[in-house]
Amino acid sequence: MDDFGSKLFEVADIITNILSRLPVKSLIICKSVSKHWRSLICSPNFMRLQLLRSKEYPTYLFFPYTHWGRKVHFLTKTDGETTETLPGCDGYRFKDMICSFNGLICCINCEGLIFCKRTRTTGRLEIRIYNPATREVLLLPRGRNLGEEPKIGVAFGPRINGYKVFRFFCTTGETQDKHNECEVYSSITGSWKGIGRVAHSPWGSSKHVCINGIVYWFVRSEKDGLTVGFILAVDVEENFSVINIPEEKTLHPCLVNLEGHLSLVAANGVDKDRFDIWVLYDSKESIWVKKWSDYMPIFNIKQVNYVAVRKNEILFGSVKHYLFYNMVTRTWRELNWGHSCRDRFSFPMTYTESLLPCKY
Amino acid sequence: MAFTKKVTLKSSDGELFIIDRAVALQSRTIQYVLEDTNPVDAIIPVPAVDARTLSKVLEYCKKHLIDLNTDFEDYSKWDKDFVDAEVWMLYDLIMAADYLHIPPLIDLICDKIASMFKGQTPDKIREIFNIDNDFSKEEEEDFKKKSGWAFK
Repeated sequence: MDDFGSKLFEVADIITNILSRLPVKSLIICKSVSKHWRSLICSPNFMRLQLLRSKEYPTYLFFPYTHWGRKVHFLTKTDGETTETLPGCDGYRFKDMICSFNGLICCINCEGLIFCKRTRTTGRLEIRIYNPATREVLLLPRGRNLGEEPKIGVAFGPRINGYKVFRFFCTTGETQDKHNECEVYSSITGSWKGIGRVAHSPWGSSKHVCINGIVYWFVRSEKDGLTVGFILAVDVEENFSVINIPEEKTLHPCLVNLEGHLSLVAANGVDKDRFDIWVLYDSKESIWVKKWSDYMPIFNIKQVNYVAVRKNEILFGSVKHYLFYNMVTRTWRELNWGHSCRDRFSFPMTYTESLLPCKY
Repeated sequence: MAFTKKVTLKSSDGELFIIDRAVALQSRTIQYVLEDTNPVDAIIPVPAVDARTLSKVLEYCKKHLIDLNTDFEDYSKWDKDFVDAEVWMLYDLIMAADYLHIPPLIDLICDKIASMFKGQTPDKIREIFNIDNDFSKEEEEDFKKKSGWAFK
């Protein structure tokens, strides 16, 4: 049995099975054990398997920031019980994290752009794709230079190779008519492509979700401009469509991915201390079913800024509190950071670490 | 169909193990053999597994059959002790579990071996698992330069 090590690791299934259980940091070390291990870990099949396993244990990711200098030196990962610090995009300033998908994070930086007090100066919008687990950072090439707060969404999946970044902006044509346009970055081509005029543009403040390669955003109501009008959807093939929201009154809605279904977490139209969850059953006919309703302690959904879903758990974030709601036991608990933190935290996103490259 | 309640397994080194059919059915490989041929009082050869390993595997199968009412805590303690073994034994066990196709046992041993990789240097991993280093000095330096943070 002297050569058991090399024999064991000849059985590709077994060694793949073992390695796929390791965190990404350990896998980076294992890549320099032998050529055989290196080629195995770098193979697309292995990356897919590792991601599948990692998705069994999603965590939440925040970035702590101070008001004036949003330099992100680290990210905070938590599952509610334990908290871990991940390296940030060192030296870069984030304005915002756009989304987290398959272990990658899309973040934007608007150096030179000032959004407060409605003054806008032309500056540089930088979009980065970042993998905190492998520390790979990719700065996307510049798209059209516009002094406008970008409306961005990332489409990925259902297959793991590649992603597309959609960016909406408003332009004024030669006849002074304002219209919406969209451009899209593909990780496969590595470049932006204009897709011209589009009928609708996402509501700037709304967060998007991506489910099975389709990105969903809220669009501002044309009636009052203050409430959600409908949902804009675009798939990886760049087909646009519109989904109506439930007819029953849904106030302060948030879009979430609940077990692979587009869902709305919203205030109950009658009782302000309740929240409802609506699940989309048919996107063509906009058929929604109210699947859940429960009371909310501490704060009500009007005060909720952010909602993130991890398996059967929903994280509600207000300015001061983060509350976990367990959908199995219907119980609540508050996220305890364990130390007094004077920093503010960004909205939480569900995160699973992966080996996926930022660049294809 | 006539079901025999006992099944006889024969290890690679010729030892016979007479066990309950239910215990043997935890191995999908043996399950297929029994379904296909339904051997009455026949001996099922297990040519890839020696007696020492087979008895250990059967110990696992018996424990996980009998104690279905044992709570989770007890199981994890027993499982942890079960895989607290030398590397060569884990190797024999996983090869046997793979051949006999016992998914929970494969999971258990894979988790154990994976935990032995965690936090180790490439040198230490090669030493524990007896793997040849086929990288050149230059290549190794290059890895350290590119992902040195992971080695700290």
